[in-house]
Amino acid sequence: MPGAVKAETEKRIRGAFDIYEKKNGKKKFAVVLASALAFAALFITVIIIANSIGSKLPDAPPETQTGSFEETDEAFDPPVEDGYILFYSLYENDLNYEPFRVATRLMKPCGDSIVVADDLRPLYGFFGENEPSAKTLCDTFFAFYDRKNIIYQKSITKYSEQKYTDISDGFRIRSELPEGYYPDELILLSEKHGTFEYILTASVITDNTPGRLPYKGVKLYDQNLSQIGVYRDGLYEISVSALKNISVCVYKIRSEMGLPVIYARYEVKPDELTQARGDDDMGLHTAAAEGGSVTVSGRFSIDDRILELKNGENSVFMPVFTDAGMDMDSSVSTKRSSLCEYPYSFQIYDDNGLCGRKTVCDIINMLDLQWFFPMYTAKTGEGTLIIGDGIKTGATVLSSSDQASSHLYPVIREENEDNKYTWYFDLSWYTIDSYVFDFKSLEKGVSVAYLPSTCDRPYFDFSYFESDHPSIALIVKDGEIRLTDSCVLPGSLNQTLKSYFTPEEEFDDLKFVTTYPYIKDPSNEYDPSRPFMREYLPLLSTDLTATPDLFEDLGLYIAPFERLKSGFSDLSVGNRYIRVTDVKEDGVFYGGEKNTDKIKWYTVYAYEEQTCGEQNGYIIDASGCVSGLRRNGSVYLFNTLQPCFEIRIKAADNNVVYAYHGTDNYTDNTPLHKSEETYAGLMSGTAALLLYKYGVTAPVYDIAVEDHVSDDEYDIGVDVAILPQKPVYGVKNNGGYRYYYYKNLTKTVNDGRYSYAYTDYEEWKYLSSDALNSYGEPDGWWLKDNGCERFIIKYRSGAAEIIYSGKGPVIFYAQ
Amino acid sequence: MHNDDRALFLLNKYGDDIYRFAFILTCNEDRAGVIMAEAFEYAAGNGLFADKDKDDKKLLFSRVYKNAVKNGDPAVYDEEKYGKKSDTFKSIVSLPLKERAIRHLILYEDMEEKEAEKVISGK
Repeated sequence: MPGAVKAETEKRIRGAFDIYEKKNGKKKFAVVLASALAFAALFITVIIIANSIGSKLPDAPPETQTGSFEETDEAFDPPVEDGYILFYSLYENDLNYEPFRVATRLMKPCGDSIVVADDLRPLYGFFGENEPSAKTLCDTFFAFYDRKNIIYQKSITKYSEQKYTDISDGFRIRSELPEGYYPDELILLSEKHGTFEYILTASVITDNTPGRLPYKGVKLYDQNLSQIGVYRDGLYEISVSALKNISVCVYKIRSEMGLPVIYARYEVKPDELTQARGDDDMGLHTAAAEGGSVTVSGRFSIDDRILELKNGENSVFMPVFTDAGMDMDSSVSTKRSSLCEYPYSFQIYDDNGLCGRKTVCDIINMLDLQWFFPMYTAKTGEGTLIIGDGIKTGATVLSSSDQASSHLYPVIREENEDNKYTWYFDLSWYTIDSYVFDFKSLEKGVSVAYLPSTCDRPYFDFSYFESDHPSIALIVKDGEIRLTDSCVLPGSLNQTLKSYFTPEEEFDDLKFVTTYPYIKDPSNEYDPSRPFMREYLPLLSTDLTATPDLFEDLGLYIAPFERLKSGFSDLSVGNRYIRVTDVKEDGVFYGGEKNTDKIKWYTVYAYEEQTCGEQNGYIIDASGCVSGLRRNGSVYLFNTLQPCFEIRIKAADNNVVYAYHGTDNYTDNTPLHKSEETYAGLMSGTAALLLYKYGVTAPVYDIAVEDHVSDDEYDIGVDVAILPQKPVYGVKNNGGYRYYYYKNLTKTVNDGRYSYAYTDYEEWKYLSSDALNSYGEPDGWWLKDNGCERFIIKYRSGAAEIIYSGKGPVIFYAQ
Repeated sequence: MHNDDRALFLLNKYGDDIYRFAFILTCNEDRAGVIMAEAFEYAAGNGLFADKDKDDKKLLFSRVYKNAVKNGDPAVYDEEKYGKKSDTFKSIVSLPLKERAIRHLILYEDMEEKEAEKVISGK
């Protein structure tokens, strides 16, 4: 609500109460007030200390006897000079926060480790019928801990005599509580920040049974079991000085798949408190304490609440704490189709690879992102290189001069004047049926769909790929993360990773891992572990459905995708050096020809090469994913590669090419010889059909050959254009190598001749710019062939097709 | 707990939701502010928040709706002034006042239809 509305309403409330008081003759109860709102009414300077040791607690006093916990009206009177504060505990009745309350009661972060209680059964209920292990629970609820380190309270023998367990910053929790005492985490304040919520909590011990709403007379204790407060009249009363002795911290959480995931925990230690002075000038001051690698100072008032995290000279402003309810509503929209409009997502971490959950969490926290997708990782001499996309929220506008290497905030988009943009993230009003968040940018918007109850990652529509955005590049070494030069993925490369790479001779030891887009299954069987497969592209909605499909119309089906596991061969093409995988003989068609055992098909991999003005750049495969690096003229490809196209052939004796050209299916039993004669024969009319399927972008590929016809006339380089989303049929014809696609053909079934209908415009727009003339139209000519009209695309650097011999692919180059 | 403290607490806790409801019913920022402030004023002035058996938020919705009815017909939503909204929002503000209120409570406050009808009737 607008600030003016709030101010006016407050004024009316106070005015109304004056009238009410006069009517009812009651006196104001003189007390220092600090409700969850009024925490905001006070000025507090707090210090958040991370990863450092704060002041130690005094030795444990003798244990307090347990008392009865019947409802009482027993007063709790702190010393007069101390004063006490009142507050509501937030979300007490809110079941959405129950997992968080239980998890933080039973599991406490301790640096990179988690200290877990002996009995974790209260958490089992959130996992259905399974009894998850402590590790599963920690992995689920905590993103920032080192997956190896779980500390079981009762197993900490060195603390058992003292009955305490040290957690971060010297704060202790009792390893064992006497009967009748229970840990509790009171939620004092909360604030949303994009999809995250920051929650201010106080760790106390209570005599109230867990899960039971507080009632009058419930007592609160610190870890020494000294009473610090009591519950009555709907409020907790805690003595001001008690704040020094209890752990007050900020949790940064997000709901993922319906459960809270804790991304960070910051300890808050007020050091000195003074008493409030009066209604209009209520203040609760704490002096700053020093120490720690991160200091936080905060101010809270009704109108001006800022929590500022300082790290050296840099500041991160955490959102203002208000008593804003968090929308962790778990109701799932019945309009599932709206999420289907956002089919793309990415792997968000890889615990088995180089960029696990903790690393991604650290990156998100460090850069104040909402999400980070590690697009690819590489081990190098300097550490682990991680390049990925980050999504940010907040109204902070990054200037175009901000560069990733020198600021905490990398440029996510750049301003238009210098080919740069900015991104915004507006949560002010989103529909209940799709939880679609709109990124507002100066140029193009990117929509994100995210349902806290059923998603653990955001989903995008195609606008994500259409908007150029730079990536974030980081180096991780010995647990430290630092930014490196930012770089931009295909589309508008304007920077490169420059001197980052280690000398060439070390490349053999490098391991590269790629991540691929995930497809959200429109059949609503969500399986986040399923990797991207090109076969899923027909399942995508709208523009991305590749229709019609030559193979299906011919009665052929795509064989299951098999990833190549290994295998490189080094090929030289003129003055280029490209390493490609061997052609893999995959298997059998499903359907189609009856003599399926005679049909083999081959998968060939090809890569786009992006140059950045120098000799360094990315290799991008047909899926638009980084699949390799080019450095100093050499190309290094990753070992998990996607095929970019497949060619169905029929081999009778491994020397036969069965070629489809789209209109005729025929079997050519003529052995294909690598000779000029055969070559010429092929050129003179035999159609060898080149099929391209399912590219996402429109890259131009370099394809290398194992061996090629050594005829000078044909020994020329080749570029192959992969047209996205549409199959392209290439045919050799007289006069050279060209590939083309059909135009304005209609499908007929009368005589078994198949062809496809396309609109002009639909086809043109998917051509790479190489094939377009200055009018944006394909450059080429029409050819009548076998009753069909074909348009021959004239590419700047020619075209190529692949013809298989018995020994493998033969690729011809054209200059 | 003092009534005004309770009222102020509720303002911070529910103010955004109440304002959103008021805005849906008026399509005007100023009028929404007025009917919302009047609702709080009425409830605070009559000690209604002290009644532990009452759901304060529903009470406020009820008062806001009553004030909206007294306020008269809502304005036409000014997209230029207040920005582009979702199709859902547009569909709601095209409804008459009572249906609009019920629809909002169902969609944005997760109430069942009967519950929403009870709220706006003040029961």
